Amino acid sequence: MADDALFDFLHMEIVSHVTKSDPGLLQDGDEAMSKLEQIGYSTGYRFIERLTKDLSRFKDELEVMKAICKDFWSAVFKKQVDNLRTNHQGVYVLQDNKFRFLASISNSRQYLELAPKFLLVVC
Amino acid sequence: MAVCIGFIGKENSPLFLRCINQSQELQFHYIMHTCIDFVEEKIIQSNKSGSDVRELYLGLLYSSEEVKAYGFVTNTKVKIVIIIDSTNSLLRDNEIRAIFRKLHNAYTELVCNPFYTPGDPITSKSFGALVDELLASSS
Repeated sequence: MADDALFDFLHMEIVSHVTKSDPGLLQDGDEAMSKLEQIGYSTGYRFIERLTKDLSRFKDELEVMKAICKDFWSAVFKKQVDNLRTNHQGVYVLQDNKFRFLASISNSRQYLELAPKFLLVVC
Repeated sequence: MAVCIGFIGKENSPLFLRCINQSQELQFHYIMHTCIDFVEEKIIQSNKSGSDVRELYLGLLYSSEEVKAYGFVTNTKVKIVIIIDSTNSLLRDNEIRAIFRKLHNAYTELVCNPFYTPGDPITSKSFGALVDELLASSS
């Protein structure tokens, strides 16, 4: 429980630090946003590298998505994705009804940590 | 008797290559390059066969009169290749697996280092030292 709180606080703090660090950025949130995305992507990449170390080799894209829904989601958000939909042409929709970063606050949380889900498909 | 260990990135760019005899480095680069095709072939083959057990370890990729190459691919499509002197068949399959496991562990540690950007050529000294050690211990 304690480490959950730490992770939540760290996440909130990173978001507020990045958005506040340069007041000039506040007008156009794009730069702060892409910075957050970049943080999310690189932590996600490293995390995936470690997480998939002991998994068997993925056969196709669908298997990658399943791994994201089950293993990755439960490692980061302590729950699995509620719903995974696809049109079988490379578009996947992940639905999480109680997304951890949004659960305590209704909105205004940014894209941090969302980036890694694009990651596995790319590589 | 391992003579060379190499890492290839997910877009098939060379990440790292270390061999015992520096003068052969170019030749090993060439063999690495050849191995990429074999890796892809192996992956397609094992996907088609439909077996449920898919390992990261790919087994023997390529063999010639002088050398044999063994391959390994991570889930993030980074390929690891070990080149072994054919004249010496002392290394067994499970020993090669053990080396690959160590290399993979070392690579994951490296990627988790925030000062390393994934996809860049590997320059880490401790990583290089570990590979050197593995090369020395298996020869």
